[in-house]
Amino acid sequence: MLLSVNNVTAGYGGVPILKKVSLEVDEGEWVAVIGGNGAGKSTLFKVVSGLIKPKSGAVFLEETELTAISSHEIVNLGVIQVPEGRMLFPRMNVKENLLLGGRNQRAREHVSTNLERVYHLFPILEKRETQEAGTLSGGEQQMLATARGLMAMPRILLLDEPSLGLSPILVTEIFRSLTELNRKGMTILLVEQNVVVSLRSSHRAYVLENGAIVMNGTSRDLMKDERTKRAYLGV
Amino acid sequence: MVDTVIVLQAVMQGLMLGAIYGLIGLGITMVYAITGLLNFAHGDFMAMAMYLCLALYRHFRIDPYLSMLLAIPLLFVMGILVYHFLFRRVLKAELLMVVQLTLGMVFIIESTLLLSFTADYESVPNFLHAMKFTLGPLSTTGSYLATFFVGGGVGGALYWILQKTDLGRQIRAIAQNKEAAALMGIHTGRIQMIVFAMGIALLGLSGSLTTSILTMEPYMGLELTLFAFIVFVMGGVGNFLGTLLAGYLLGVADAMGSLFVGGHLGAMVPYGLFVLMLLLRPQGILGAR
Amino acid sequence: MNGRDLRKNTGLLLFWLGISLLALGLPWKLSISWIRIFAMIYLFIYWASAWNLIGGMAGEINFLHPLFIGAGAYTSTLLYLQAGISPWLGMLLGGVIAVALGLAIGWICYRSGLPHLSFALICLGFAHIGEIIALEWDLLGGSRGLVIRPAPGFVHMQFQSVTGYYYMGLIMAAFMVGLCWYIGRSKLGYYLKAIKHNETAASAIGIDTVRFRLLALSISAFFCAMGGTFYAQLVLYIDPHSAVSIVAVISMILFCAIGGFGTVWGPVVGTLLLMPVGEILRLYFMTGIHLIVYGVVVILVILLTPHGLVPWFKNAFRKKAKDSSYSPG
Repeated sequence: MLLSVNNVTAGYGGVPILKKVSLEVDEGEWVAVIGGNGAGKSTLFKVVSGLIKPKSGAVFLEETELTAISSHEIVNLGVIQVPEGRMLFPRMNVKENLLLGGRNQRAREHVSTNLERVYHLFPILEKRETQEAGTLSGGEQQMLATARGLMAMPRILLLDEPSLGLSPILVTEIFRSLTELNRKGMTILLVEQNVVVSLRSSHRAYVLENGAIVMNGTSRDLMKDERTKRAYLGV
Repeated sequence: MVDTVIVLQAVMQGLMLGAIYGLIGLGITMVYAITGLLNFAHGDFMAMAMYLCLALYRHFRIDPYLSMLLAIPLLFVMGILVYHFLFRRVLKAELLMVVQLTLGMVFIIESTLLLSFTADYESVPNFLHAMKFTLGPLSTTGSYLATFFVGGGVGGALYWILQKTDLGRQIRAIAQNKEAAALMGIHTGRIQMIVFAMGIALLGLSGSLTTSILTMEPYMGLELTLFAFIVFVMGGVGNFLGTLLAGYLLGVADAMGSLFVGGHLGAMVPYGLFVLMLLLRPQGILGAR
Repeated sequence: MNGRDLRKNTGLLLFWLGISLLALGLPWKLSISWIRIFAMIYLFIYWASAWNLIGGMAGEINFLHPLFIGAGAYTSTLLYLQAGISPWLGMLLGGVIAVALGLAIGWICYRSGLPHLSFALICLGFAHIGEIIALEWDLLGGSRGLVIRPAPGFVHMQFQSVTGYYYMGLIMAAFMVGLCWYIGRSKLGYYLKAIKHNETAASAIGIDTVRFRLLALSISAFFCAMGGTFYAQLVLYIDPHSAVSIVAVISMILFCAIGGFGTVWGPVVGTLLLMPVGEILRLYFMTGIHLIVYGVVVILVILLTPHGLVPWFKNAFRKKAKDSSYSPG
């Protein structure tokens, strides 16, 4: 098991957003966490990436307890997040954003190779290399954010709502690239509101509702499940 | 009518001193952009550096320019210690409390200076002070030239560091999006501490350079801080180039004030300019960044 | 009202009775210099509470108070010296002038929607300008200041013995604390707290932030100015450095910080804790040491209790009450 979240309770101030959440991701898997707004998905990622500490419970990357170390150490271990809303560095150009993505200890030596790789995956980024990130279109920004994450040579890639604000065509395009990467061995943990796309591309999925895991199973099974269909697929 | 040469002289002097004002303001800018801290004790660190030069000169006859080599690393270390033990813990507290913390430091530093030295006005000559340089009809002393070139040079060096080095990129990243920077594996806590210490070290530089130009007295810190904040706000609150520009502008305003109005009221001219600017163009000279 | 409440209320009543008797009876036990020191302490409690209204409660980094205090001190003193007008009247006039100043500056600043820092800087700038005007304007006595010749008499607001100032200060302090308590529970207090918490949100839901801030500022200015008159009459000498003092306002803010911004008892606790020690240091040792002590204490307090002592005590008290409370089942 590559990543395991064990009984994590976390929140801000006195209010718990996540209540005893447990999930696991194995090497090479694509796992999705689906749920509506406010279910606690971003909080989950904040805990995994070390931005907030849980009130109870722990997160492990193999044997290492992530909840006991700081966020920059977590990044150095290869747990890389592509955050919600992209969070690019708006006044830096495409290349600088990518360079920042690739500066952690594991990826530092391979910056030029990785840069070539992401330009190959997203050619438009190479065209816009010197353009300020804040001036890119929505789709380009998502590509840049994903590419920036890839520059870090992740052992596991955490994607927070990559489809947000993108047209269906762009969503399909992004997910096609991600599927390609997963097929080549990249472990992905995805958090999404777009249930259809998530269940179609992932192996397994968890359903997060009001801070608790209410369902889990293979994505195929979940897609057929009556409850999911009613709640999220509007059937 | 006032002699044009005298006016030009004042403008030149103002520009030269303005290079230092820019640096002092830059210290505030960088620290605010990276940590959100407003350090009201900023000017007092510069006062400490100046008094250090005074002490070294009095007891050992060491030229302030030489003392600078001690002042800069000393103030850098001081900055690290102050940040690590004090500011780091109050980053999340309410603004009034953070301001009060720094005001507490103002009390401590200014009173310590008062008790160690006296309330007398002081100034420390450096070896360039006596040298006169002429440029056509204008003349200036070596100290002013030194502040101009060193001030400008350091400003340029800082700009280069920010734009072309990895450290600079990390700093800009934190300023633009702190959370994203953490997700890149940047050790935000350490960088914040380094930037703060750099700001204080800059004051070591500025203080040593201006011992023969600015009059020293124990309570000068708060006034310097006020000035630095004005440069910072006029510069657009976080705009590097804007801050440098504002420094020059305020230097000239200060010189004009002394020339045309003189005395205490003349010292108010930069403040007047500041208030005007706030009301007419609140986003600063070059706009916020 | 059950047994516990009755006990609690009687307990509080006895506590307040005890404190009042102590405060009233203190002058019998203290030396002249100490009575004088306490008069100053009460004055600072008064001033700190007045500052707390606009600073702690409304959340402003406001340094305008040297202007208000100076306005009060200089107005009443000048009127008395030049026209023989009783300082009691001059006190009110000084208050009015201070309010005018506050309204003028406040109106410009509040309407521009300035961020906290810019506002603080403008205040500091104005305080500076005020000090400079006092230094340069001969009418105000310049750097030499103004001296009031001792002429004891109630009309002159001068008391035969220091005890008179002691009680006047006590009354003023008690009044101010009571006023703050009242305002804190009133609608104004509610609005100020909303403004402090989030000004944009407050104005978005329809609160006229400018009006309420100006109101709080005016109240603060008026009473601070009156304190300035009291100060002038107590010390019988004012000069720009003491009457338009930035150090004084920073000290007031400091006392509020230690006690807890926005709380009713914060300014009291902060002042009572530090000023006695500070005054001893200032009078019997060298000037300046007391400021170092203030600085060190405030830093320690902020590091240990980020919201001040009063909130910290309340919290500790609440925890104890929770631990020992009776719970059914």
